[in-house]
Amino acid sequence: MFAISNASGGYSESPVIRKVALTVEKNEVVAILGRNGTGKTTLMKYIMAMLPVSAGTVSLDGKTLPEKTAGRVKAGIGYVPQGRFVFPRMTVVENIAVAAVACKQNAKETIESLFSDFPLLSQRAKQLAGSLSGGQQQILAMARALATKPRLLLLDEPSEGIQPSIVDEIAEMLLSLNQRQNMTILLAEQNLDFSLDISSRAYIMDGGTIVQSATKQELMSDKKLLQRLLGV
Amino acid sequence: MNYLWTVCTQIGIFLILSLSFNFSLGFSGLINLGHIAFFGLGAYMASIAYTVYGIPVILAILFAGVFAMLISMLLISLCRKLEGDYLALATLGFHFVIYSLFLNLEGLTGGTRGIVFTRPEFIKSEFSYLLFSLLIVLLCLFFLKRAVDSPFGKVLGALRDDEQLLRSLGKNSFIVKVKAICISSFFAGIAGGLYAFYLKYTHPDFFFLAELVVILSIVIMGGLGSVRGTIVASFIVVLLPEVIRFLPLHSSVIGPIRQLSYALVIILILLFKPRGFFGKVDLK
Repeated sequence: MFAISNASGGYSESPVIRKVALTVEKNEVVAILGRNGTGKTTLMKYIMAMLPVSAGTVSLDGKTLPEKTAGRVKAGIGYVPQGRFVFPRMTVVENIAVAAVACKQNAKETIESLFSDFPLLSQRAKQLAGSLSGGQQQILAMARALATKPRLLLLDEPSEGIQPSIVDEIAEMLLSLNQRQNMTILLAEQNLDFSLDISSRAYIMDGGTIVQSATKQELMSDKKLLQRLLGV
Repeated sequence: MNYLWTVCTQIGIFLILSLSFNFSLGFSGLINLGHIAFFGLGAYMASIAYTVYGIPVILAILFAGVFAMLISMLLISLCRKLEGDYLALATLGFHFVIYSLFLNLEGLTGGTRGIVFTRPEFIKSEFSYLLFSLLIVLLCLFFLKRAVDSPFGKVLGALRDDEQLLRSLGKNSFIVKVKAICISSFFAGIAGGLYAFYLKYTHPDFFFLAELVVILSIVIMGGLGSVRGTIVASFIVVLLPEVIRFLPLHSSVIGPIRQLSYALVIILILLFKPRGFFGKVDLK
């Protein structure tokens, strides 16, 4: 099980997230929902130890995770940042190889395995990542995170700025990862339909803290709640 | 013929110096404006090891590389939190500190008199020194090419493209930076050692900032992140002033024209071929 307790942190002296606590069970898909500026990305970076921490702990399977990003990746957390960042001047293969090398995995085996899971990337193996479409870059960013062999996959707004048909494909890929490879997934999203398609429950963030948690059914049935919390 | 051999030797030395500079700038994205200082440190280390301690030439050149590498490790550790333009400024400052040490540590460096010495018998002629330096240049080329083609070379590319993203994949980007600067400086030191034995004279003026313009011209012309481009551009940029030497011009204008030619090369490449001849990375 993945757990965050009493998480507070932000940039410089200004805390952005305050006393955040959440859990994600093994093989579960959980969404963090919220409007712009509510602290979702900051929380993701907090989990990855990519910003100054004021307080709180992050644990996976009962063990408190190391304080450095590298330690957290090695402990089993894969991260797909917002904006589908890829290494634009490197090829698709090189993007995946870097992640495998960074985590001391066999690059060749990792690439072969990921290409069979993501045939679209296999067709564009030698293409520069920067020349891929937005959706293809997002898939590459996911594959690259998987190259680190995570037990928990964090995705920060994976549907942002991507055409609807590709968003559906990404949703299918994530569901397949969860169901066939037992991948635990935590995603931060504003796209409610996408989130409800793949997650079983959600936490709702506002003002840097979690204000409510709800199951998929509760969210789908209570439109007023959604309007109040998410403005949708 | 001696003139031809010396020009060929110079091309080889500047090839290693420029390729090691491209290793940090083009392959790793680290703007190290102190590269000439490492070249100078290598030259002084080799000269002192050979003249004061009587260490054989090949070992003196190896020490030059190791010494430059150790100093670069210290520098990058001090600049741990700096990146981009700030790293460039700090390394530029480092260059001036080292240059000042070359000038003022008279007991060690000879100050403005420099260090004068002769080469040992087996590399006394210009031709034999060309063969000797060619062997070292080829070895350096082999190791640098292997480094950029290795998995570590891909990690360097990732560092250049997006350091934070590299960190998010579990790689300690500081360690990668240290390795990149150390490898780059090691080969700059080797080039410095070769240069000292090439000139048989080591003087602070050979390591002034103007030399950076020469290697910057080579790297920009050949292209960032390109071994092939650096090789081709080394020939062109080193030969360019030699061609000017034979123009029917008064000797007083030949010097300034040489300097102008480098500036012209950089401007023309930036205007018409921003990636250089074989560059993989845009200049930005």
